[in-house]
This record gives sequence, structure tokens and C-alpha cells, in this order.
Amino acid sequence: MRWSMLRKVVAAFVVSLGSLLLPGCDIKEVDDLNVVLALGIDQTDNGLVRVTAQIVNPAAVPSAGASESGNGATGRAFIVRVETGSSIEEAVEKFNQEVPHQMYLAHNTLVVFGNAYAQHGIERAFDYLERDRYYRRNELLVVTSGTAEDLLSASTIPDPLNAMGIRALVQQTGKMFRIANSEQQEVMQEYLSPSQAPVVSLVDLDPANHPVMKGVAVFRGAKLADTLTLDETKALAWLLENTRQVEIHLPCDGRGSNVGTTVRLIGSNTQVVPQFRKNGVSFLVTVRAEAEIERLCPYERMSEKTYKELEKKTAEYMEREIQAVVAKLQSDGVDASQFGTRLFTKNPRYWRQISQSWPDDFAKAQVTCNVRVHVFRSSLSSGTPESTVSQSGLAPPAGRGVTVP
Amino acid sequence: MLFKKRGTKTKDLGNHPERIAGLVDTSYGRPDEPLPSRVEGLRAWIEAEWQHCDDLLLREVDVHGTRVLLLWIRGMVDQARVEEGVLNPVSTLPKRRTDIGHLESVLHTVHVRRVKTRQELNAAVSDGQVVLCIDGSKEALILDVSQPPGRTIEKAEIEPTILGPQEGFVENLELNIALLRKRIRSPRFKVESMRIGVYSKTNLCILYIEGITKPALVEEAHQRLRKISIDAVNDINKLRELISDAPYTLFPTSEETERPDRVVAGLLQGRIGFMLDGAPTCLKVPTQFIHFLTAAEDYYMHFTLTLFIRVLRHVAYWASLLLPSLYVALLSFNQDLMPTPLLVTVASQHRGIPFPTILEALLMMGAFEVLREAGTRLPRAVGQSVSIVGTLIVGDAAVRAGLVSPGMVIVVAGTGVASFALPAYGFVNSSRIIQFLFVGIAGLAGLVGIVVFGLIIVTHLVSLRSFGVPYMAPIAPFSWQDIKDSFFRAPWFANTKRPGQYETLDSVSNRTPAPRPPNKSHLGEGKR
Amino acid sequence: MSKVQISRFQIILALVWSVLGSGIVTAPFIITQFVIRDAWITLILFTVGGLVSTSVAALFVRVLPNRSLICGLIDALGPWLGRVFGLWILVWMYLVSCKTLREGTSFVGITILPQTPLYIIAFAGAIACSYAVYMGAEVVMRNGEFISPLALIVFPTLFALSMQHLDVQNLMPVLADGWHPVLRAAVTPDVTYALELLIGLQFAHMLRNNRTLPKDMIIVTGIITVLGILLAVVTVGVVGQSAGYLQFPILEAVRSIRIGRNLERLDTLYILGVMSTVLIKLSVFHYAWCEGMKDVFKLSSHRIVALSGGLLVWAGSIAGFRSQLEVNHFMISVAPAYFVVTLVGIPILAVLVMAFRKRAKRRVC
Repeated sequence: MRWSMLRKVVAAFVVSLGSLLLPGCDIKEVDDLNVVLALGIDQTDNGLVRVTAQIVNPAAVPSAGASESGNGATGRAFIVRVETGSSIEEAVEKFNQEVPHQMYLAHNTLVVFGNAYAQHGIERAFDYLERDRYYRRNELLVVTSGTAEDLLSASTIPDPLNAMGIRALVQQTGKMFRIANSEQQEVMQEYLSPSQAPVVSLVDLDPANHPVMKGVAVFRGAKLADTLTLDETKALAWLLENTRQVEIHLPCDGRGSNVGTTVRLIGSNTQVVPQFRKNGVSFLVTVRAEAEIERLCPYERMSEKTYKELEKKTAEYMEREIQAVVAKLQSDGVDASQFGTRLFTKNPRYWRQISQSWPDDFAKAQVTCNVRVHVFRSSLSSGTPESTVSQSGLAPPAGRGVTVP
Repeated sequence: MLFKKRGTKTKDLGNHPERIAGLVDTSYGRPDEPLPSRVEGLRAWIEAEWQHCDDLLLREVDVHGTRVLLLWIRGMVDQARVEEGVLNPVSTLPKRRTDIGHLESVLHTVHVRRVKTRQELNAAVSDGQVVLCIDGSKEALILDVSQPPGRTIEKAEIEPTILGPQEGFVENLELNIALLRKRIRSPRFKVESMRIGVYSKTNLCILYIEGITKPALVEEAHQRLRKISIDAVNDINKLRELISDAPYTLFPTSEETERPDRVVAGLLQGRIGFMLDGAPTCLKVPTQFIHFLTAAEDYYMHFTLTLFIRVLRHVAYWASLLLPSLYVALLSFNQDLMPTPLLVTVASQHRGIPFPTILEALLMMGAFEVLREAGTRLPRAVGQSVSIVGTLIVGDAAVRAGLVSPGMVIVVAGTGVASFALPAYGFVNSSRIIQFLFVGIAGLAGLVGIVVFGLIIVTHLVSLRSFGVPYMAPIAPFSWQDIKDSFFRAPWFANTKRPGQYETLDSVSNRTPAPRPPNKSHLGEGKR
Repeated sequence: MSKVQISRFQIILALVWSVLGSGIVTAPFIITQFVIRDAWITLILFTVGGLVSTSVAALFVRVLPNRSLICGLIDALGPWLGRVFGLWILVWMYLVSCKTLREGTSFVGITILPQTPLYIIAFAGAIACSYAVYMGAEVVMRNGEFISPLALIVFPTLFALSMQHLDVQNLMPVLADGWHPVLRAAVTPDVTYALELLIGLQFAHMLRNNRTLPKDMIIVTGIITVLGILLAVVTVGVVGQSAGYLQFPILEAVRSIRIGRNLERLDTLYILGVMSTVLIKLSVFHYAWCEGMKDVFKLSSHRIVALSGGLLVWAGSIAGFRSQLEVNHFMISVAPAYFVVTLVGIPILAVLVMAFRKRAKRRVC
């Protein structure tokens, strides 16, 4: 009885000692950290890597309580530092020699590749970004056509932190179609897929030096091949996945030609079916979309005919755009439309046979589109105000004047 | 070991209850001898025994030639009743044969009994009763007119509720037992009383309900109590420490309550209670961890509300234990767990604070504990100003001076508020100590340390027992029946059984069928 | 001291964590060595391994009821031969404990404590387990019971959150490379981990009725199979082809969570959860080992070896497995055959001998 008590005390002592011995080797006080929010990766002319780090400046972070204390925000909320090295990790390591406080990469949320680096291939960064414990695979990869340094130094008012601002910018587009929201894990999946064509969003600076979402960059393997505009990105998204809340502007005939009409696709659903033929493969792209009217051509009255026409025009526009982007991708030789992956999923054995010659086959592949749009509501108005305005000298019309179905 | 010698002695004594009885007796000479039949002899003996006890009153009355000796302790008896119930009848006794049997039938006090030994006489006097001895009798009469000083029944102070009964125990054992008996009007409710304490001879009652409580449990209680041989037991905590299962643990393994309704609820679950004369609380055993997070009010509210309140309380408990350590771990080890905007805010707040987070936390927590202690011990009027000076002025000044970060003040204050939200005061105090341990570990090893140490604490918790019942009972070992009154409270109609962990003799506590109201109206029929 | 008794619920939880505790760390890596898209099929096959160990357990408790594994061996094979085989099983338990501690340690070391020496993390783990083991089997089991609800909150939440990146396309096409890689991948998880379930035999005598043990093992097999399939589907669905080179694919699925600006980087929570379940597995094995040593060496109590044994496991986890690579090599190449011999061969031998002896005795009578 007593002995067991003694042992209990000894055990408790050893236990607490054991927990105490677990030492603070990993201790890193929050004051001694440089919270890195974004890394920019550029290539210098002599082939070295220039890494831009965007560090939070704790002295100038605007917070709700700061206005009271008076000494408020001085300078920008972030600091940009640049290092050059033969590889990314070497350059990042150099920061620790030149910037006081330890670089803390766990909060990195954005990696920007400069144009030159992207053209030489971003796969050089992949192993480091995937292996290092501090980078999460949900960080955003972005390509810019200038240098990453410039993009990371730009102001993203109203968001005081540039990286957060850029990420928010990309995400707003990513809400419509996920392809624009090129997180590292999705880029890696596209890189490892049979098509081997990552798509990375493209953010550039406008003349006023503000970052703008420009579209996406398509990669052949890991090398930058071409860029797509936002409109082309929409078409690529229709080829790839379901989209939400995409707006389409269409021209009007007749009197309202300078204004045009606008349709919002509430949702679209895409199915791509590979069809095997003697002379190669063709793809049947079926898109089903539901839409609402955002704006009608002036003087247009709402009728069943208008609905039908609008649906037809929208579908035709989408088909045209899809075909155009396919043609562009085919001429670039980039299978960003993931046709190869669809083929592999459908028939892995067949894919094994033709995968060697896939780049050629892709360039020749036939794409048939079948788009159907269903306009199912017209928001708060039915006809346009212009159609109801009273002609000079006439009384206001008695009613809508048209039989509404 | 330190406790070696004492431990051995207690153990030996436990095997020889008669030796304890010898030790416990405090009368000097010949305790079991009968009383002398002559009043002179008796008086001489009493004066020797109660020498220098100036609060003892001796009064000799001559009743028709027979000498009658009355003795009592001043202040312990009701003067008016002595006058009315003892002195008056004795003096106005019609002239007749005066012997003890006659006196017994004449005296009007509620309770009269005879004693034969000197020891009994001593005990009766100490209890505040009037002892009447009469010439020619070897027995004495004990007249119960005791009214020991004490307060009347008041509202429960430590465990106040808004709904439900408000009475709380007082320092008077008889009154307390009456409060319980009022709630269980059945002869099955047993009140076994005994005396403990060599000098104090305190009255102790073991309460249980026959037919529900497992007899082995009562036997175990007897065994533990029999071993007690200590000068005085005046407070329930002394008793708790003397009969505790795990003497060295920080977690209480018995529950103290000042509410009769809670005691009754516990007894009906098959638990037993200890009540001590002079202690305004009752000790309930066996006790599980979960009991400390239930309040009386939980049973006076609708069961859906109880769910919310109880979950809140569990969260508050773990917060009071872990909040400062989590904050330290987040700020000095695991910054990646914080959302980026929060990290940015925290980093900017913490900029320029001269202490590392761990030191800052220990400073603030220490200051808070001192303030809390000051607020409890000081007179109420001063306590108010202490809390104002302490919390508002010192806290605000420390933040403005840049000595501590505002986040730390919020966390420490939040911890304090969370601990105030818990119903069991003694239990909260244990978490006040453990939170310091956790902060220390967090400063050394971050979240990993907290988890490893937390696991050790959990191991300790699940290894505890209270009177043979596992401490973490409804959770580990898990029991669906018993969990019905833990994180939530099942509605009364669904809660039909007593907790299985107490292995009660009668397991069903409720035979009411679930309410199934007919789907029709008795009123206004034919109008719809 | 009254007889130690554990409930069916406790043994089920303990066995589930005995497999999942470290299986969740290492098994995905081993499976994805061979097959990625069809990983979930290998986990369906876990039922086969689970049923094999269940039948071994069923035979054992039928022929040698109310005995722990080691006691049964000694009773069946005689005090000397039984002890030799018992020793063999003790070595196996020791190796599994070391391996488990090593897996847990390197997982924590790689992910959140990169600068802390491994031996210190391992020491803390070994001490925490030894303490639980020292306090007895009931405490080990109750620890499991206490941790399980917490794990039940944390893990499903994390996996529900990581579903946002789930893409079923990553699981397609099914069986593109035929059954061969699937079966090869199935060997380690479905033989090695499934046979680890037989540790339950060491606790058989503590159950109120040890005939229920096989039933419990079937339940455990079912739970693990379902959980395993869910995990495989979610992990491969989220991580995709990258699972082929990532060390901890399930961790990556958790790391992929990002909902708004505030809900991301929850992987530390996952790691802490895994850490506590690994510690439960470790204490189950450590207890079984100490209990076995008590029987083989005729000790008065398992407590004598609880702390010292814990230190031995600590030393073994560092000296026995010098790198992550060695753990993986052990699990892929050595463990399957070794486990089959130890956990199927020896108990079956004991069962046969005992059955033969019983029959011989009956004939004599």
C-alpha cells in the first residue's frame, strides 16, 4: 500500500519531468517573426532566381483599435524585400542573413511567378513548395506578365495587405469558375494529369499600377505557353467544369446596337464525351445552362419569342467562344481543356495506345458543341422602360400591349 | 516517507475499534461507572470533573425535602424553557413522594431520558441539556432544552439559484436533518449518527436511503469513519481529507453542497451523505467529475435549456483550464494555427512588449489571482474598491504603459469569467492551480506539450475512484444510461433509472409513462 | 485488489485505435506506393484480413478460454516451450511498440516540431504511455474511451471541411491497371494491420465473457473498413495524383482546407489528434507487453516493468528504426511474413496442441 504510494509519487515526478524536458527548441516568439504573406519568383537575366518576400509590417497594420492610440499607421502595411540566389530555397535562406527576425513562411498565401521564370518552367519551384512543411498546398499560384516584384509592391487599396488583396481579386473570379482560382494543389493535379496542362491565373498591373485579374496563363508541362483573356477563360471554364454567375454580353440588332443585352448564367453544367472514330478522336461537349436576364435590348418587349431568341443567341455565342478557345489551344498545343484526361478516364487502355501521339491527335481533334441555355427569369422587369415610354402626343399605353405567356 | 508513522498507527487502530473508544473518551475518572446515588457525592465528582468550567451552572433545589441537583451550560440552553419546563414544575410539585420516575412524568420538556453512567452525563451536559439528579437515584434525567447558538435558515449563499427552493443548510445538525426529512418523508431515509473527534465529540450523521443505496457502500463509509481518531472535526473539509480516496489529487473526489435539495437528489440516486454538526454543508459520495459541472438549477429548468447551459459550462471549464496556455502556445509556438488577419493583429499588438509571452501570462495570471484573493478576504465595502482599482486601473494602466498586451488582459479576464461560471467552488480552485501548470508546459513545448500533459491529466482523472466508482464514470467507462444526466439532461419521463454506476438495489426511479396527450380538445367541442 | 475488468465497448475502441492509431500515419504512404486511384479497393480487402484474425481469435478463445495470449501459450505448450514462444511474441509486441512510437514521433517531428530532437518527443510519448500502463488496463482502456469522442468531433469535422476540394474524377478510371497493384498494395495494410487486431487476445481474460471477443473483432473490422474506405476516397479525391509522392497524404487533405480567410491551416489540430490516438495504441501494446512479461517471467505485477519497459521502447524506437525509410521498409517488406508467422502460426499451434491434449485426456478417461 505504502510502497505503491511511493511509486505513484515517483511516477508522477518522472512524468512531469518528462513533460518539462520536452524543450522549447521550436519556440519562436511572435515578436521575432517576419510573417511572410507572399513570395514572388523572378528570373534574372543571368539565370538566377530573384525572390521577393512580402512581409507584414506590424508597426503599420491598421486595426480597429489603432486609431485611438494615436501613433496609428505609419508607412505601408507590408514590406517588400528581394534576394537573389541560384534556387528559391537559397534565396529564402539569404533573407535570414539580411532581414532582422526570422522569416516565418507558414502564413504564405500567394506565390507569384514572373513571366521570365514561368517561361523557363515553374516545375523548378514545385518540389520545394510541395516538400517544405511551412507551405500549405492551398496557397495561390499566380503568373504575371511583368515581374513578380512589381506586382507584390503594388497597392491593393482598400485591402492594406497586397497578398490578401490579390488573393481576394483572384477569388472573386474563382467564384464564377474554379479554374481561375489556381491553388497549388489544383495546379499540381493538372500538372500530373494525362493532359499535363496546368492553368494558372494571370494578374497584371494596370497603368495606374493596380493589380487586375487579366485571365489565365496556360502551361505546356510546366512551361508558360500562352495567356487567355477573361472572355477566353470563361469559354475554357465551360469546357471544363460547372460555372456559376457568369455574365455574357451580346450585341443587339437595330436601335439598341450601341447598348447590347446582358445575360447572367446562373449555373452551367458541362459534360464532355470522347467519341472514338476511325480517323481519330472527337469530343462532344454538352453544356446546359440556366440564365436570367440582366438587361434587355432597348425597345424590346418581353414575349416568348424574345426568350427563345435570347436563349438561341446566348447558346450560339457560347458555342462560338468555345470553338475559338479550342482552336487557340490547339494551335498552342496545350491541352488545357483536359481532353486527354477525359479520354484516359473513359478508356485507359485506348489512352495507353495513343498517349505517345496525343499532342498531334489533340491538334487534330474535332470538337462538337451542343449548348442549350434556358432563360428562366427576367429579374424585376419584364419589358424595357423604353418599350413602355409614351410616344410624343400619345397617352400612356393601357397595358403591356403584348400578350405575355 | 513522511506519513509513515501516522499511517501505521491509524491502520492498527482500524483493526481495534475498542482502542479507539478508549482514546476518544475524555473524562478523567471511571467513565463507565454508575453515578453515585447521593447528590453530595455526585456534586463533588462533577465539580472535580468540570473544574474551571465557569460556564457550567449548578443549581440545587429542595423539593419537599429531597435534594435535586440541576446542571447545565449557560448559553447552550433556552433559558425560558428551563424556567418554564424544569424549574417551575419542580418547585410547584405537589407534596408527594418525589422520585425520579415521578419527576420524569411531570416535567414538560419535549424529550426526557435517563442516563446511568458518568460518561453519558458528561456528554449530555456538553450537548447543552439540563441534567437533573435526585437524591436516592442512581440515574439522572436528561431534559432536552438545548438551544445552541446559531443562525436561522437562510438562502443558500455559495450555490444560489433563481428558480427552485432557496433554503440552505445552517450550522445546526438537527435543523439540517429536518430540512432533509421534510423532503423525504419515509422511514427508509436513514440517519445514522455517531460521534467523532476525541475532544470535539462532534455529531456526525451518515445519510442514505435503505433499499436504494448499495449496502456495501454504507459499510465502506462506516469502515472509513471508524478509523478516524483526531482531536476535533469541525469542518466538512477535515472529514473529506480524512476519508478521501485519492488524498494527493487536486481534483475533489467528494462533493460538498449547502443545498438540501441537492442532497436529497443525491441520496435518491443511491449515494450517501455525511453531515457534521457545525458544518453548514453536506458531503456527498461517491462523486464523479461530471457532478461538479451540474448546478441545482439544471433540474429546475426545461431540459432543452439545460442542454445549452451544461454545454456552455463544460466549455467554460475547459476554457478556465486551458485558455491562457492555448494563448501562450499560439503566440510562441504554433502561430500557424491562427488565421492570418488575427496573427497580424496580435503581432502588431504584441510589438514592443518587453516580456516573452509566457512571462507576461504568468505575471497577469498571478496578479489576477492576488486580486481575486484580495476581493474574497477583504470586507465587502473595501472589496469593491479593490476590484475596481485592480481590474480597471491597474489593467488599463499596464496596457497603456506597454507592459502587457491587451490580448493577454482579455485572455486572463476571460479565464476568470469562465471560472466564475462554474457552480462548484472547490472544484474551480483546483483548475486555478492546474492552469498554471498548463501555462508552464505551453511555454516549454507549445500545443504538443499541452496535449501530452493533457493526456497525462486525463490518465490521472480516469484512474481516480470515489468510493469505488470510477471518477469519470459516465464518460469513461461509458454508460448510456448514466450519460442521460451529464452533458445534457434527459427529460424526466425519459430518465427512468438511477445511475447504474452506483449499483443501487432498486434501479428504477421513475415509472411514469411518457406524456401522450390525446389529440383532441376537451374544450369547445362542436364549435370548430 | 479486485479483478480487472473491461467492457466490450472499451475493447472495441482500443482495437480500433490499435489499427487506426498509426495506420492513419503510415498506411496511406504504403498503399500509394503501389496504387493511388484504387486505394479504396485495397481497404475493402481489409475485411479479409480482419476475418482471418477474427477466426484465429475465435479458435483461441474456444480452446483456451479465459486466458491471455501468453498465458494460453504457456498452458498449451507447457511451461518451457510455452515460454519460448511467449518470448517470441513478446519480442513482436516490443517491435510493434517501437515502430508505433517511431511512427508517431517522426510524424510529429516532421510536421510541427522540426527543431526538437526526435528522442525528446519520443521520451515524452513513452513516459505518458508508461504512466497510463502503470495505472493499469482499466486506465488504458478508459483513456481510449475519453479520447474517442474528441476524435469523433475533430476528425469528421476536418474531413467534412476538406470535402470542398473533393473531385471524384481523381478516383477514375477504376482498376485501370488491373488487380495486380491493388493486391500488392493490400498486403501491408490488410495483413499487417489486420493481424495487429490480435493484440485483443492479450486482453481476452479481462472481458466479462471472452467468447464475445471474436464478435467484437468483427465489429472492429467493419468500423475500420468503413472508415478506411471513407478516408481513402476523401484523401485521393482531394490530393489526387500527388498522393504518389507525398509522405502523409491524409495530412495533405487536411492541409488543403481553406474556407475564407479564417478557416485554414488546421493541420496542427489533426496532428495533435493523431498524436493522442498513437499514444493510445502505444499504451495498449505496451500494456499487453508488460502483462505478457508478467506471465512469462512470473512477476508479481505488470507495474514492475511499466516504466523501465517504457524506457526500453523509447530506446528501441530510436535505435531500432534509424530513419523513416527503415520504418517503411519494415512495414512493406518484413512485417507481412513476420506477422503471419507470429500471429497466425503460434496461436494456431497452441490451439492444435491444446485440442490434441484435451482429446488425449478424454481418451485416457
